Amino acid sequence: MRISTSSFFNATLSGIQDQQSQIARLSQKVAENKSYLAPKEAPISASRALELSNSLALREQYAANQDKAELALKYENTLLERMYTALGDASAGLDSIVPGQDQSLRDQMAIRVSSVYNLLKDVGNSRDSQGNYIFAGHESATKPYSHTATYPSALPGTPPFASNPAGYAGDTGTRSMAVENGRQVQTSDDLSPLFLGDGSDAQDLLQALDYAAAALNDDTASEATLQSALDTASAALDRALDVLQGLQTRVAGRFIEIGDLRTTTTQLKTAEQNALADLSELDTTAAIIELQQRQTNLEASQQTFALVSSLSLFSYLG
Amino acid sequence: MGMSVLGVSLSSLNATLAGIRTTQHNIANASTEGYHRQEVRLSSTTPEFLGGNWLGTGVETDNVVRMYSSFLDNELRTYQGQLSGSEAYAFYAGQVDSLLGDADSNLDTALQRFFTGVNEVANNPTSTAAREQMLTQGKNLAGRMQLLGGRLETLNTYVNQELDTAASQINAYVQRIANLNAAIGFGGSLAQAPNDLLDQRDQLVSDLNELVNVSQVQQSDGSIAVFMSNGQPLVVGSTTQELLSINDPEDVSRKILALKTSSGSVIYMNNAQISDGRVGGLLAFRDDVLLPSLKDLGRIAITLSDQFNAQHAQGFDLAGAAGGNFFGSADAMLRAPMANAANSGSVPTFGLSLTNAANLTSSDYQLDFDGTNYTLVRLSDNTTVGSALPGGSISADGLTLAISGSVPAAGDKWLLRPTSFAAADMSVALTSASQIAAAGGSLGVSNGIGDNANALALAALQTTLTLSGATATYSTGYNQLVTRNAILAGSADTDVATYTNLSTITRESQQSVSGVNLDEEAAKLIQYQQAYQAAARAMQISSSLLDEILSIQ
Repeated sequence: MRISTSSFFNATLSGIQDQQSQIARLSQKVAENKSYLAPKEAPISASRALELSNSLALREQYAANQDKAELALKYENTLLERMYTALGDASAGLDSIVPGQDQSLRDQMAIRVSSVYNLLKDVGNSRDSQGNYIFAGHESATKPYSHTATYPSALPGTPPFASNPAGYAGDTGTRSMAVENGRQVQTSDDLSPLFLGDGSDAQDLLQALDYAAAALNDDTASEATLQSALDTASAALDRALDVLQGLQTRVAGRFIEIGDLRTTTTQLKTAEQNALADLSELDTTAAIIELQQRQTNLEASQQTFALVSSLSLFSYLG
Repeated sequence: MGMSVLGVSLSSLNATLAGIRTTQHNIANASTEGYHRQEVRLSSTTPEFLGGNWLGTGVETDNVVRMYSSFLDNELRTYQGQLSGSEAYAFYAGQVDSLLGDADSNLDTALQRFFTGVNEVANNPTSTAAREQMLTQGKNLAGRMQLLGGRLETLNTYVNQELDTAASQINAYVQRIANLNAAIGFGGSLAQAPNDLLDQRDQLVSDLNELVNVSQVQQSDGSIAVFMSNGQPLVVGSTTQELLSINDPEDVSRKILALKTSSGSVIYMNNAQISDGRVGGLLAFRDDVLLPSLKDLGRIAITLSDQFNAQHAQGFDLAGAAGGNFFGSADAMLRAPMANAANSGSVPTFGLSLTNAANLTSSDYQLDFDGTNYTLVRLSDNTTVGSALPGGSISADGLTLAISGSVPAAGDKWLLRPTSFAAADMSVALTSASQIAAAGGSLGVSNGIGDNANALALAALQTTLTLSGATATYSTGYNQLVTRNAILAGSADTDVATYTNLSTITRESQQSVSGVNLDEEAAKLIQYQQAYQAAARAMQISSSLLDEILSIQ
């Protein structure tokens, strides 16, 4: 076939240009560690990669939420444990009191009961790092328990004790966090049933403990008054311990739930990360071998061009 | 007799010189675009009857012909037109592909970051830092949407500008073809046509065809007529018709091509008729990639704004007030029906609002008024979706169109592209982070600032099927858009590769007929040189023969 001089040159030249652009693209892929530079080069992979990276972002979000939920529950659990120890301590102390005991022993017991009272009140008014009251329900800016202690003053009157109820300024709201798609875990609890019982004065834990401390402290109190105060406090403590144990069981259950979810989330995250890497990251070895091949081809084309371009009949005409 | 012997050699010298000149011309034009190599055709001159014998009288230059195959030239022209179209398409589709698909600049990343912000508020509803973060990420999301929508609108402007340029280039080519028609054609016969002018005219038709697909018809007078694909002539003889790039009467933000006839009337070109050439590629890109992307992106912007605002309104902010719009009003992002430029009646008032954003489609709609009724037709499947009397309203596909005010003329029509312009309009309406309505509540009363019920509901929108008739999340909706464009851009690249190959192969074939080979021309030079030397020698010999005779005296 007849060939024109320009075709003769262009054939080699376009070969060189083609090799050069392939090498440029390949080295960009190696530099960025990407198997494709734009979705159009691999639409199906790119679409799947978008799905995966979106799903990964969600998993990371849920993992972060799980961490935060666990942290909130850990904090609550620590407080509940402190309460549990204190309530048990107070309960044992009250049980040890017998009629006709020496006033100095009663004074000591009064101090013990009063310190439990203070600890419970402090726990009930706990705040998080940002100053929110964590046991105030949704009224997180409001101090929930502001009972004023009678102890160490003398007894204000005789039982039943309607004179100084503890009260509760919060509400019954609780908060949840999204720990997986469509799944929420409760991360705060309402302690008011523990402090207030069914709302009757006899079940008001803070009032009962305060009154018991005051009664123990007051050496003018009759034996009957003291016994009644101690009985009421014991009953309130037993009921509170009951409520507390129920709460602790539920919190423990949430820990297990989050732990299970975390395992699943981590496994899925790893699987998706691997799948995403397979789709979008470059097979570097294969790429470098291809790069070397193309370099060899380019050099061959360049040498061919040099040879071919010197071929001209005019060179031989004197 | 002596003189005619010299004459034979002289004719040979002349013919050889014509050959050398043609070879020089070929060498000079070896790289000229559109040049066809030329050859001298020789024939022997009429013999003389002398002494009972026919004696030769020499040679004459019969013709200089160009090596031309109309089949190969037309084939090459077609492939180059298709290549030019697919290159334009692939260039712009590639821009959209990298814009929407880039890992750093795509919408998905902004969506994820925004919903991370919402989650953080849910995790800690009273935290000022978390609230500020959510507000900032909301602005970032709206900004990303504006950026993407704005970039796509810029590409639309580029397409418009390219159409303007193409139209004026086409008119310039057409004028030059008409001039060459005049120079080549009139009264001449094709056998004696000036080859180089034919080459120039053919090249102009090729250049023209790289802009827009045309057909040509050879006329008996040597001129050619060039037609657009709708049969309208661009040039006949030395008469031309002007091509215009003008606003689409249905949507003035887009340009289309039209022909201005000699009578002054304007004939709009149907986009579908312009299949090849750069203009064909640009129009196909606009119809296949650009407009659908704007619609889909706008639909996500509207749906997200509407649904997020609706959920936000269910909650209460830090001051206990009910949530206001987080994003700018979605209704305000809808584009009202666009009046056709040919409408003749009064202009009615349109009120377009959302009834259910989840049911928004990506289709265009046409609103017609027949003198009594308005009819709304969904253009994707040509289905009538509703009708109304003046003063009434039409509800369809998640939208309500209320029509009031003046009554237009029968036959007036409007194009409705509700979501096409929305992406660039997305914004954040909330001004203060404390106004984020994280808390739930009932009967107009907040649950309290520590509640996060509404923030959880807002965060759940990320994974809810909210789009396309509740079949996709915002993110999967966006993914579909990216994938569709990636497939279109990818196949455009394949088209470019295919048409490049076809053009190269065809060009080689065409060049094997019409291209200049310098070695061949060198050989010819030697051949002519030798012929010249031989003729000169023959002349010398015949001259010495005469001298022999003269010396006898």
